[in-house]
Amino acid sequence: MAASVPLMMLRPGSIGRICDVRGCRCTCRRLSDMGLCPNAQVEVMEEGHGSLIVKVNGSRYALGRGMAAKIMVNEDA
Amino acid sequence: MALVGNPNVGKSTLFNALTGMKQHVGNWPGVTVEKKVGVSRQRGRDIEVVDLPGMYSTIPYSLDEKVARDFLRSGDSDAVIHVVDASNLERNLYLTLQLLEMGLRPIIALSMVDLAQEQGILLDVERLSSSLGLPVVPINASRKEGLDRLMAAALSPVGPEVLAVDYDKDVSRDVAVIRSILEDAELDGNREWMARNIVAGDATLLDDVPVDTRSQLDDALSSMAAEDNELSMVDRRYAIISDLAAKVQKRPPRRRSRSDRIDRVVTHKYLGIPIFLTIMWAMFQLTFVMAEPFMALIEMGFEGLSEFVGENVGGTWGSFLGDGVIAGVGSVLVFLPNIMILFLLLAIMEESGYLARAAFVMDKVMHAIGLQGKSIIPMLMGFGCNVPAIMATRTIDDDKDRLISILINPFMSCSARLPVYILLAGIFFPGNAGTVVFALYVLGILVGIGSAKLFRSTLFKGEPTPFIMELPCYKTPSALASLQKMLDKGWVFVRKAGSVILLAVVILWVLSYFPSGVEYASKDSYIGMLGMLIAPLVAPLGFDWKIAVALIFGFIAKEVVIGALGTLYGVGDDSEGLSGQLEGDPAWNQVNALGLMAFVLLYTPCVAAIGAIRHETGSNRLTLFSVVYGLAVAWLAAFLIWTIGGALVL
Repeated sequence: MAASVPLMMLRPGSIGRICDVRGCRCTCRRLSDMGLCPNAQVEVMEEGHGSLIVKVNGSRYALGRGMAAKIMVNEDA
Repeated sequence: MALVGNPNVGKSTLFNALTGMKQHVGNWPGVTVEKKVGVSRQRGRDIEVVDLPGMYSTIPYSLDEKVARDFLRSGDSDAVIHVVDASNLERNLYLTLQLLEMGLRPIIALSMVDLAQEQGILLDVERLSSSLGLPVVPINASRKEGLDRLMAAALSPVGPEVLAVDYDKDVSRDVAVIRSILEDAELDGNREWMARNIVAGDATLLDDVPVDTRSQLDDALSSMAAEDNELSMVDRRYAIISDLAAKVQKRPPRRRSRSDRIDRVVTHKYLGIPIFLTIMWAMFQLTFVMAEPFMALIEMGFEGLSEFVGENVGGTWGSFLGDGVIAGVGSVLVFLPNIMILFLLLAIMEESGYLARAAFVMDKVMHAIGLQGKSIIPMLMGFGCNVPAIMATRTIDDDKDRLISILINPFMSCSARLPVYILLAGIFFPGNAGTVVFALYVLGILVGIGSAKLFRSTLFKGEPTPFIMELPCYKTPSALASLQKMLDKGWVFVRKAGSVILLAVVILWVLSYFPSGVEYASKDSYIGMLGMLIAPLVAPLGFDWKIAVALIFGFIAKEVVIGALGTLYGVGDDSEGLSGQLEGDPAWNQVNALGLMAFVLLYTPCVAAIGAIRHETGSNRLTLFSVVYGLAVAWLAAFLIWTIGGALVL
């Protein structure tokens, strides 16, 4: 399997699978509540300056600066 | 009956469709979270419907979610309608599972069915219903489809056989341990559910148990692998959901939806900020241009009224009605159109889904001033009114980010300050009124930014926390909902003019008219004496005693500054109106008018905003600080304008 990279490394249009979320328990729990849990498939829609818009299961989320660095993904081919 | 669901799933639309006009907005006891209650008439019965704040999980993350969760827990609701977004089944079902674990038997109202169809998602409603063991009713709330079936389902009992969530043996063992501790404690509610949520990491429940139970729980929890449990429970729930989703839904290969295509442009890395600024500028322009004809009409109305009073009522009563009530309240009500249009535009921005995008677009800019992207939303709302804006900071999770956002919010120029600018800029900067007013808004934003940086480097040291926020699909704002919001806010403004502002001008009139025999609002009247007393404080700013009095009364509400000037100048029976009076008074000039506008912009918005700050920060010290800081900044700004401007112009 490919090495995992922070979500922010993915370009718009690419798809990855979440393998780990780094951060406090509270943040991790919120991300899982919203569907960003390990094994979820994330599609990067737009990129800002350090921030991202991603799509998970049909909903769109804005991830602020720093949040996208905490989510580790395996990029799908 | 309660409505529950994730944010942005169409819960409010359903609530409006069910209750129509029969609803009122209040507060949940003890907290300022909005409580929307309405009455729905079904088959001759009146049913009370409560619209709960949106929630993602029964483990609350914010105050709003805790309110919603605790209401569900209390069992105060006979039926629960769970609104589920058909275009986003997986995440919505996550909450469904948690509600089932709570022991609730919700009726599923399937919303956004047309959106799901548009995206090519096929749903087997029957199968979804039988898998969950719950009634599922597709609805289209804005077209009022499916509501009868939904209510029929809500009024009949749900079968006992529902989908159960089973966890692995480690989790089950730990849940059993917690449960056995809870068994001996004196408490209300579903112990099995409490045990599960405590194992899943819900710390809020620990505050509800007696102290000795609490310490037993803490001991037990410390020996458990808390994070593993939590992860395994989340995994299990999502595993159940993805099995279920695979059975009931067919998703087409990914394709770009309309919202995706709009986002492509609107949230573009480089175009995003110019687009945002253009929208802001357009909003600002529209507020003025569209309001003009309506303002002229209202002005004519009040002129006619004061002429009538001037001709037919004399003496003390004539002065009371003319100088006091009409001059004071009339001067303020003229600005009703501006305020309604501003709120209409804000509502459209929120309804369309753009407001959430602004948080993304402005994230980097907000970061540079020590805040996170989400902080932009209360700032924008502050242009309407600071009170709801300060409450809206609640969606910011991090305490420091939130407190800074609260403290800088008063510098966002609310609609109540607009009348002051329009009046003064119109008189003293006739050719450039628009530019001057725009400059004031910018000044407010700059002071807000400067203060945010200052607070971040002194009071609240640290980095802003990264945020996550759902971006709803773009939709055409519903004309009805937007107009409703506009009328609500307009009505609040009219009520304010008829109550607080009226009261303030009546007090002012009394203080101006007496002791009997003195010239109206002269230095010998009571108000004159008060004004002379405080005048030295604002003399360095180029303000005379009448301005000083108006500013003091402006603490009640900013529009009162205008109302107070109207009353102090007794313009009710004067054909020139307040503008003419101010223009002719040698105490006024371009420089101190500009200084006054800056002062009004920067000092404490109003008592209601002070109340909101007190409530949201929970701290008297921070509230006092906010008031003193605002006054100091306002004084300094007006002082600089008077000193520098005076040297240049006068």
